[in-house]
Amino acid sequence: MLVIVVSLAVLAWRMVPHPVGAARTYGKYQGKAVTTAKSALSNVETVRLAARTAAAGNAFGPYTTVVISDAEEGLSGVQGTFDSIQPPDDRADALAQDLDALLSDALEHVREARVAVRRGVLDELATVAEPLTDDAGKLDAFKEQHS
Amino acid sequence: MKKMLQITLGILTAIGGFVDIGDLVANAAVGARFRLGLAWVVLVGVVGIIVYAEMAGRVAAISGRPVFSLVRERLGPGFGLANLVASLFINFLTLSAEIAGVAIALAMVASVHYILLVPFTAVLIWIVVWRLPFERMEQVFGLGGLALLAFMFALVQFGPDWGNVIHQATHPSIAKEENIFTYAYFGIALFGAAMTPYEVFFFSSGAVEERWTRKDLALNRANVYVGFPLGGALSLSIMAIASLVLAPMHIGVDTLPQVALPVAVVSGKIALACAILGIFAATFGAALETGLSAGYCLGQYFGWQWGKYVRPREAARFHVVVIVMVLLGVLVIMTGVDPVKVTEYSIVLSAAALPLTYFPILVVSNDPDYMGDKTNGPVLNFIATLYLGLIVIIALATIPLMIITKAGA
Repeated sequence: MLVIVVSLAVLAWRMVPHPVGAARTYGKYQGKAVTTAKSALSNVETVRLAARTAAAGNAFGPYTTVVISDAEEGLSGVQGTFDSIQPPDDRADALAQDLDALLSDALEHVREARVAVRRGVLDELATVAEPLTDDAGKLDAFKEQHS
Repeated sequence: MKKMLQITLGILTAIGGFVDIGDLVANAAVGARFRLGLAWVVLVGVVGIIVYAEMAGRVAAISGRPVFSLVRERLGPGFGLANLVASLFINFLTLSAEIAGVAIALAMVASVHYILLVPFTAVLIWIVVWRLPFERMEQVFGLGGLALLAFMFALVQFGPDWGNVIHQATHPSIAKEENIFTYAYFGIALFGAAMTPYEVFFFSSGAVEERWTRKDLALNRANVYVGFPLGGALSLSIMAIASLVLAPMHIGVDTLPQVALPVAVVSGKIALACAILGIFAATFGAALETGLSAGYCLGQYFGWQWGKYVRPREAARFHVVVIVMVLLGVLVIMTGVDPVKVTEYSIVLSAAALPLTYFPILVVSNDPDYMGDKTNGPVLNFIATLYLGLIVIIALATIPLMIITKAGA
């Protein structure tokens, strides 16, 4: 019974959206930024892979739409979560600006890919998704620099 | 052909149990994150579920009663109630996730947001539970789940360096960005997924639905020895193909559609269609298993008439429980909660509740009053006791690990 009570408490805590607490030091904030960059990179790479696969004729439009829409939702979610964390000092402000710019660019490019796939232009999807290569490179570099 | 169709109970149980939404995502996520460093856990889980499912099937065949109804009788109403509450809670979480899984599988071909498909999915599940005979249900969804072989096909077509694959699987190591706690947490998740309690409840109740007797002990073994290793092999294929295609691109798996992406990349549209069909059948099968298991558990604990082998009018309370559980599951998913999170917690919490399920099976299968001359042999008891010890350790470690790792984050 104790297991169930503890489980319910953990579930309630983990599943219900709640505000992210402030990072008290620059180090902690940097750690959260790296985690955010990792998640964003995963979503960007998912879209690149899905776009390449669909453009090569290896995936259906509806399936590709779902994959890209999920990635867009995921990317938007990590950006929202990161933006809700209070930067502790000026250095963290600068870090937040750098990462936020990368996330906004990536989100815009993912959105373009989603629009293209919704319009059924699968042949050109690889071209539409091309800017994401640069976004992925920058996110990876950010992650490496701050890890 | 008839003989082959007779093992569909084992195939459905294993596919629904091993490759439901939780396993699909967990195996792909582990492959993308730890490569094959946790493949050994799947093998340990397969052996464990084979040992205990064989016992549960044998108990049902010899006594003519499923495990749950014997738990209360043999271990008392208090233990039975604890088992009932834990099982129902985990069953309910899993059922909610599976309903979402079916809707997501449909969304992959319909291109509509899955939430819109959830009510339709619930109606579909209810129609199958209400109208389709048990054996036909096994055959349709058990065999439909075999479309997941597309993952194995993609793995073979990828043509990995098999020596390296085997080396990775047999020399587990923890990547520098991970730590022992996340490794252990995901290991427990995989083990919990392999030994989910509803698998044995469904399997033993299914044996009673099919009216197994002493003559069917060979059929029980065939179901267990074919179904569960097949489920394990599919799990390993999903993990391996994710490790080969997704891990090098730093792609973490957070959603069900991502699981099928490596199949599309490697093998193209037809294989992708098979993978989606397999995901649909496996999640639908798991939804049926969990929904029915809720009815089985309650019906067997309170001594109601239960099962699909009697007309719904004669087992009204059993059918009401199934319908209510499905409706509650729909309500949970319609709140917009992340179905992958729901299923991740359900498999981890399964691990915490495993002793409540497996201890009674070991006790009952050793009781000559129920089993006559078909009690466990010493070798089987030795292996089962080792597993019970492992299960207890895992149950104790689960919640602390969940808190330490922030659920594997």
